Amino acid sequence: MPPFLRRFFSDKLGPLLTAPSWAMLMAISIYPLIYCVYLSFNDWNLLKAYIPPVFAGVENYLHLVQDPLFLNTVQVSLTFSGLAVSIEIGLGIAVGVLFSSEHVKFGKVLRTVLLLPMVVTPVIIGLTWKTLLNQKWGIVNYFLSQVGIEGVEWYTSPFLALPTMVLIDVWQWTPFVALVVFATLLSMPREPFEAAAIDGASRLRIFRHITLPMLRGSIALAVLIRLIDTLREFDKIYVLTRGGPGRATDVMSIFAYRTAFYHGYVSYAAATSIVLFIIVIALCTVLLGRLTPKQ
Amino acid sequence: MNPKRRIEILFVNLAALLVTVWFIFPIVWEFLSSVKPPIEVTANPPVFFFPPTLESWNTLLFEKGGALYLVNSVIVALGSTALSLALGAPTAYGLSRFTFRGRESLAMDFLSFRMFPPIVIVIPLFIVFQALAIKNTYFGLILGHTAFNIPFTIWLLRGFFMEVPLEIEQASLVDGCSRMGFFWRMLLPMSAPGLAASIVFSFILSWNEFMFASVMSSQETRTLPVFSASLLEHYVADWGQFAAACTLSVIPVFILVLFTQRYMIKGLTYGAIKG
Amino acid sequence: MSETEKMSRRRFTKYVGGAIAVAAVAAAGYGAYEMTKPQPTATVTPTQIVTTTQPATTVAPPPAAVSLRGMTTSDPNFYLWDKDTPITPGGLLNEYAKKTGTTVALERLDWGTLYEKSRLELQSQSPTYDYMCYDAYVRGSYLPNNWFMSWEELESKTGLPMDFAGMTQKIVRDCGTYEGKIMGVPSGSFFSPYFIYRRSLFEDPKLKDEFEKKFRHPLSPPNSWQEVTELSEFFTREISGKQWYGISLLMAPDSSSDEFYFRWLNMGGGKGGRHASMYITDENYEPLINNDIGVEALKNIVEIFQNKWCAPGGTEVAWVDITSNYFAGDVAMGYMWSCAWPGVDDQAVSKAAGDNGFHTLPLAPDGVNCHSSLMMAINRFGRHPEETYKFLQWLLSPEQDKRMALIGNNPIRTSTFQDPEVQANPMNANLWKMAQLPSVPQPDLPEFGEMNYEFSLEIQNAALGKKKVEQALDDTEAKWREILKKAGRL
Repeated sequence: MPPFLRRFFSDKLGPLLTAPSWAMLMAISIYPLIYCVYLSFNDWNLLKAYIPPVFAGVENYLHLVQDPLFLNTVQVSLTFSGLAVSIEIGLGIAVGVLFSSEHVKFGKVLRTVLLLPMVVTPVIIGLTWKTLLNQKWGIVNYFLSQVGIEGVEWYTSPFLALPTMVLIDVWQWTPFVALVVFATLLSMPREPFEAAAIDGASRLRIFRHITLPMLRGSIALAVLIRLIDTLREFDKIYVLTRGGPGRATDVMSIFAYRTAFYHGYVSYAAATSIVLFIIVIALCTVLLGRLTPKQ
Repeated sequence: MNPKRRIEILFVNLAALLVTVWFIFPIVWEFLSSVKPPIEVTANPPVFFFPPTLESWNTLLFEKGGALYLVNSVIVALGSTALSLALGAPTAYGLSRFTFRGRESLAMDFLSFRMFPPIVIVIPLFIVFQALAIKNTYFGLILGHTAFNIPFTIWLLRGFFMEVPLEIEQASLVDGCSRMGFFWRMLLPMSAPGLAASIVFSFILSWNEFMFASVMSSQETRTLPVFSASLLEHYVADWGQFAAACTLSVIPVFILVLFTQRYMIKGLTYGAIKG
Repeated sequence: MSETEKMSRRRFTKYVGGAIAVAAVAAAGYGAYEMTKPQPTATVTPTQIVTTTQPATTVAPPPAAVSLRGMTTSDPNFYLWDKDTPITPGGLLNEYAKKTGTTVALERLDWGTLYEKSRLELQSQSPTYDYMCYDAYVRGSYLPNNWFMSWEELESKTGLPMDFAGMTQKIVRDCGTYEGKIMGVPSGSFFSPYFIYRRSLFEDPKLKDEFEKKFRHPLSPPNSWQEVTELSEFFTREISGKQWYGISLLMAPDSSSDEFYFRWLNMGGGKGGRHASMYITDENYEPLINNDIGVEALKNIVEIFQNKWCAPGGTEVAWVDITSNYFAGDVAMGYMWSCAWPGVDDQAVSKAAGDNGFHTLPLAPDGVNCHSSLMMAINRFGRHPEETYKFLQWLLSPEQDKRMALIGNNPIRTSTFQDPEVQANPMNANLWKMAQLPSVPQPDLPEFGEMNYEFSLEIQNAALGKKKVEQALDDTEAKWREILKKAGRL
C-alpha cells in the first residue's frame, strides 16, 4: 500500500471504523426521516391512488397546531410519559434497593425473574394484560371481587384507561430501573456507607445523602431512555385499546398510524411523526443538559 | 440476633417475594391458560384446577404454523444480532479509543437514532426494500432489525470498551501490535461480558419487534409477534391458542435470560455509570 | 452554557438544518422521478411449456408449476381452505396442487395489518400477491384505484365460466362491482348478521310465564328492537346462581357505529341514498342519520347500556368480545356476522353448544337489512392473474362451494344454499332467509372509514352520558360535513 494511503488509514482509523454503521444508519434511518419530511410537505391520500400527490407546503403543519385532536394526542402522550417514567423511577429505586440487601434469599433467581417483563414482546404483554384485566372473566377482577371490589373497568373506562396503560408500562419497565439501580449499588465503594454507619447516621439519612447522589448518573440515564421509549409507545396500546375509549389513550404513534392507514392522510401523519420526533429530541436535549452531573 | 433485625429480614424477604410474584404472575397465568381446555380459559369465575391438555399448543404449532414462525423469529434475531455486532463493535472501538473531532457528538448521534417514531420508518423502507427485491425475505428483515439494534449495541459496547485500562492498549502497541490487532486479539476477549450483554439485548430487541416485521414479512418469513397479533381475529378469538403463543414467545427468551442474567445486569450498568 | 448543553444545541440545529436541506434536494429529485416514471403495464403471464406433437404412447409434460400467493384475513373460514377434514381430505389447497401443479399459499393477517399491508402493496404496484381480500365497507378505497382486474375479462380470456349469476347476486353487484365491471367476488367469510339465542332460556316455562306477565306478549325471539330491549332487561338476572346478561352491545371505536346502523336500517332509516350503497348520505352527500329514526335507534342503545342490561366490557366491547361472551355461556342473545357462528355448537370452545336457536334481525315493515362480505380480488400487478382466476374459479365452483359449506364456510352460490345437505344446518337455513330480505350494502365512500370512526366516538359519548342523544347526532353531522367538505364532495 502506498505510504500516503497507509497513513490515511492509520490516521483516520477512528472515523473509518464508525463508517459502516454510520452508512447503514443513514440509509435505513435517515433516508426514511427525510422521506417523511418530504411527505409532510405534500398532500397524499393512501386510499385514493387516483388522486396524485400535490405539493402542499406547510399546510399540514399549520393545520396540526390548531387541530384539537392532535393537541389532545400530545397531551395524552405527555401525561402517559410523565406518569409512567416517574412511577417507574420511584418504584424502581425502591425495588433496586430492596434487592441489593444481602438478606434476600435466592437473589439470583429473583433477579432472573425480574428481567422477564422487560424482555417479553410488547405485543404479547398488551394482549396478556388484555386477558388479565378483562372486566368479565379477567383474573384480576376475580381477586378484587373476593375483597369486595366488583367489576373494575380497567381499560374500558375513559378515566381508568390511561392509568391502566401506565400500570402495564410500569409492570414492564420497573425491572429495568430496578436492575440499573441494583447493579450501580453493587459497584459502589463501601467506605462512605461504613463511615456513615459508624457516625451513627440513620438509614434514611444515609439513603438521602449518600445513596441517592451516587445513583444520580444511572437514574439520569434511565429517565432518558424511558422517556424516549414511552413517547414512542405503540405496540401495547395498539393491541389493547387502539387509542380508545374515545381518545383517552390516543398517543402520538397511534394517532399517526390511524391517520395514515385507516383514514388515508399519510402526509398529515408524516407531519405528526416529525413533530413527535422533534418533541422527543427537544425533551432529551433539555434533560441531557440538566441531568448530566456537572463535572 | 436481635428480634428487630429478624423481623426486618423477614419483611425484606416477604417484600422481595411479593414483588417477584407481581412481575411473574401474568406470564405464569398465560402458561396455565395455554394448557387449559380451551373452553375454560374464559370461564367466570376463573378455573384453577383443571385437567391439563395440549390442545391449544397442538393447534397453534401445527395447524396454524406456529412452529415455522418460531424458527423464523430465531433466524431473524440471530442474523440481526450477528450483523449488528459485526458493524457495531468496530464502531464502538472507534468511538471509545480514538480521539477525533466530533467524537462525542457522533456518539450522541448514534443514541439519537433510537428516538425515531416507528411509523416514520415503515412506508419509505417498504418502497425501497421492494425496489431492491429484499422485501419479504429474511435478509430484509435482518437488515431492518440491525438498523434498530446498532445504536444500542454501540452505546453498550462503548461503555465496556472504555472500561479496559488504557495502559494495556498502550503496552500492546509498544510491543508492536497494530490497533486492529489489539482490537481482535485483546480487546474483544477482555470485553466478553460486554459482548454477551449486547448479544442478548440485540436478540431480544429483534425478537420483540412488531411494526417493521408486520409489513416486511410474508407468510414464510413471518415472526412470532406478527403471528401473535394475527391470532386476535376480528370476530373470533381463541384465547387458549393466544396463551400458548404468549408462552411460546417467552420460553426462548427466558432460557436466554437465565443463562446470561449476570451479563445483562452488567451491561445495563455500564451505559448508566459511564454514559 | 455547559459543554454538553452547547453540544446538544449544536447537534439539534445541525440535525434540523441538515434534514431540511436534504429534504429540499430529495423533494426536487423525487419530483423529477415521479414525472418521468413510466406507467405500469399489466404483467404478462408466463407462456406454458408446450411440446411438439408426441406419439400417443408418451404423455405431455405438465404445465410449468406455478405458485400463487394470496393475502387474506385470519378469519376462521380462510383456515378452511387447507383444513384436513373427512370431506376435504388433505385440504383443498393440496387437492388443487395435486390436480394442476399450482401451489397456493395463503397469508392470513389480522385486520389492521391487512389494511396497512395491502394498501402499501397495491400502491407500490408490487407483484408479490396474486389475489387480495378487502372488506366491502372499504371498497371505496380499493376499487376506484384500478388495482384489480375485471373477473369477466379473465373469464373470457381463460374460457372458464364463473357463473356470476349463480352467486349471491346482491353481494356481487353491490360489493364487488365498480363502473359496470366485476372486481370482487364473495369469499364465503360472512355476508349477513343474524340473531342467535339460548333455546333453553326461551323455552323455559317459568321464564315464559314471567315474561308474558311483565311485558304483555309471549316470550319469543325479537321481532323489533324494542323487543330486543325488553329481552335484554329480562334476561339480565341471576338464574340458578349464575349471573346472566341479556345481550352484548358493540361499543368499541369503529364497532359501535355498526350497532347503530343495524338498528337504524332495520327500523327504516337509510332511505334516499344516492344508490343502494350509500345509506348514510343522500345523492348530494347530505348526512341522513340525524333524524327521528336515528334518535330512536341511538336512544335504544343508550338505554340498554346505561341500565347495564348487557354484558360487561363498557365501551371496549368489539365483535370479538361478542363471540367470547356468548361462547362463555352466560349471555342470552347475540347477533353477529355469519362467520363466527360455526363455532357456536362446537363443544370444545362454546358453553352454549347444542342449545342455540337462530333468528333473523328484527326488521320493520319498511326497514332494510345490511349485508357485506370479505371480497376477493385479483391483483392487476400480480404475476399470474390467469392462473389465479383458474384457481378461484375452481374454488368457487358449485362442487367446491358445497364442500366448503359443509365444513363451515358460508355458502356463496344459490345452488349451494338450496342443497338439502347444506340446508340441514339451521345456520345456513337462517342465512338463506336473511339473503332474501331487502338489504343495502355498506357505503362505498373512501371517507367512510373516517366518518365511521368519528361517529362511533359520538355514540360512546351518548352512551356514557357525556352528551344527550340529539346532541351527539348533531355533532356527528357536523363532523361528517367537515370530512365530506375536505374530500370535495360537499
